[in-house]
Amino acid sequence: MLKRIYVNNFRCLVNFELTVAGLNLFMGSNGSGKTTVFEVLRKLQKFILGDQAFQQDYKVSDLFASKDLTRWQKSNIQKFELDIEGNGGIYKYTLEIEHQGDYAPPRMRLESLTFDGQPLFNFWVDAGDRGMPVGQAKLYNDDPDREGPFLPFFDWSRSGIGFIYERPDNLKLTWFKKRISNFFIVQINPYIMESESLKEESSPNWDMSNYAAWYSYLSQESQGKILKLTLELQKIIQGFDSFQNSKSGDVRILSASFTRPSKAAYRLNELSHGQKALIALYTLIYCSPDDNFTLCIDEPENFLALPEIKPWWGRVMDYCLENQAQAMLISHHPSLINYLASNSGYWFEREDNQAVRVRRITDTGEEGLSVAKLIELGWIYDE
Amino acid sequence: MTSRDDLPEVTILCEDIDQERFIRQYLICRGLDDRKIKDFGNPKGREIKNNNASIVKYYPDIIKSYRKRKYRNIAVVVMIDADEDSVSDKMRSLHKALDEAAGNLNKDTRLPKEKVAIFVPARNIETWFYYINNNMEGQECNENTDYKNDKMSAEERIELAESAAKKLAREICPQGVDRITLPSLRYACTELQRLQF
Repeated sequence: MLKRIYVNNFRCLVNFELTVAGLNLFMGSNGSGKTTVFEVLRKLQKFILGDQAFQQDYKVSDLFASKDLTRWQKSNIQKFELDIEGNGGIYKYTLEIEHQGDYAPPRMRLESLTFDGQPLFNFWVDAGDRGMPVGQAKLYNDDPDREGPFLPFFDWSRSGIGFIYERPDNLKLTWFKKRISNFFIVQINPYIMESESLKEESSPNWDMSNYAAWYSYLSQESQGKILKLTLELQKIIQGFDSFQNSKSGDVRILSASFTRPSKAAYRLNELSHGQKALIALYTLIYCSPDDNFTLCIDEPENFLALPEIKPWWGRVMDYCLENQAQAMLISHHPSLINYLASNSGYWFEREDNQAVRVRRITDTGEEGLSVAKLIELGWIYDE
Repeated sequence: MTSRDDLPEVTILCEDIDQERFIRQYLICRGLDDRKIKDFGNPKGREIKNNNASIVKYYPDIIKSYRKRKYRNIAVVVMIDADEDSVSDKMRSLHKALDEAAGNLNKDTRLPKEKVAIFVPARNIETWFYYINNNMEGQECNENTDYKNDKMSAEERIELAESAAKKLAREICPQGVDRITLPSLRYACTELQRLQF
């Protein structure tokens, strides 16, 4: 699971360090940097893996724009670090991006991956013989005693780790890539969850707009999980029976069948926003990988009726505990706050619009008001 | 009016929306920023109902949490209608809720420097509105009559509460409490000193 994230010089994140646990609740005022942390994770995931849904690789310039440099900082270097526990050790991933003004695209300055201190990949920029900087990289193997190849000219516009394919002697590195692909980072927007899918997509988009395409993939690859999801949704959505994903010309159309008051099918986009959000939230639990995954969900409570959020969260917790999984939620929901804040709460704040600071919630276990009420009154941290 | 940084953030614990409007407008007139005034959440939303019991219920919780934050510049304003009881009865019910033994001995369970003010309009907040809006003169305003008018429109209620608050802050308080002849309002003005601004 993700243990630590460090970000410097990215929007409101300056020398920002956050250590996280299995279950995490991010709280704080609007504009305090909670979603920005998720955006960093998304960018790093896209940078290392490309966009799996669209089978697209990304250059540095596609993801890292100079407008995302912290406005009040003078440095043109952005730094990102991830510490991920798994595979029996700790992975440390470091990426530095150098912005070069308006006349040249941004480039990688450093990219490295270690496992328990053992290097797996290293990219750096060398000054070069004639003062012309040049990207260089060194690959390593699973065996620390075996030297890997040195690459004197290496592309600084793309992730080097992204380019490395699985081989029998680099399983440590490829385990890391697989773990990065198991970050599901979403902010569900039911307004744009379409019913049609042209192809199967192996993961959901940030906004869940490709839900139908993801469902198409899951119904092929994970039929057992879809069955579990269907049974759960039958309990949650009144009258829901099952999904149908029928072919119609070049596309598939995802519909939900209802049994009451009479048998009828409705396209996904004909369901209410709350029903679509519920379907997406439960799919994230029941159709996630079997283990070692991280759910990052920005305001899951949006669009849901009040009684729905706690049962969903109960399922998330059970699933995380049973499957070595991790959940990071951004939420303003009083039930989630009261339930989670005392053990898993992180308070984000920005004094005078300066850099984000995070504090663990400590104002709990006291007699008096609930944590949600303290936050509502502005009695936790925020001035 | 510009808010002063040294003024506290105020949380209002009161029975209904009329009381909240009155207190909020008064505090704004005294220089507080509207965003720094938080409503604890009156239990019936916009309904005008007798919610005495809920004030007594929430008061100890809010004070316990307040006491954990002595380092913060925050204040609490509580309002509870006297209705058919006396002002001192209602004050005692709150003191007992916080510390039953001390309350039974008729002790004020607030500590001297705590910025916690308790207002008990007698008979109710409409009595204050009536008294203040009628210039405190020549009126036979008393604390036994119920001046509540259920036929008032929402707009009239808003106007009534806000005009009373403005008048209290701008005209009555500056002249000193001695001019105030309505006992519960005069007592409330002494409570204001607890807010320390």
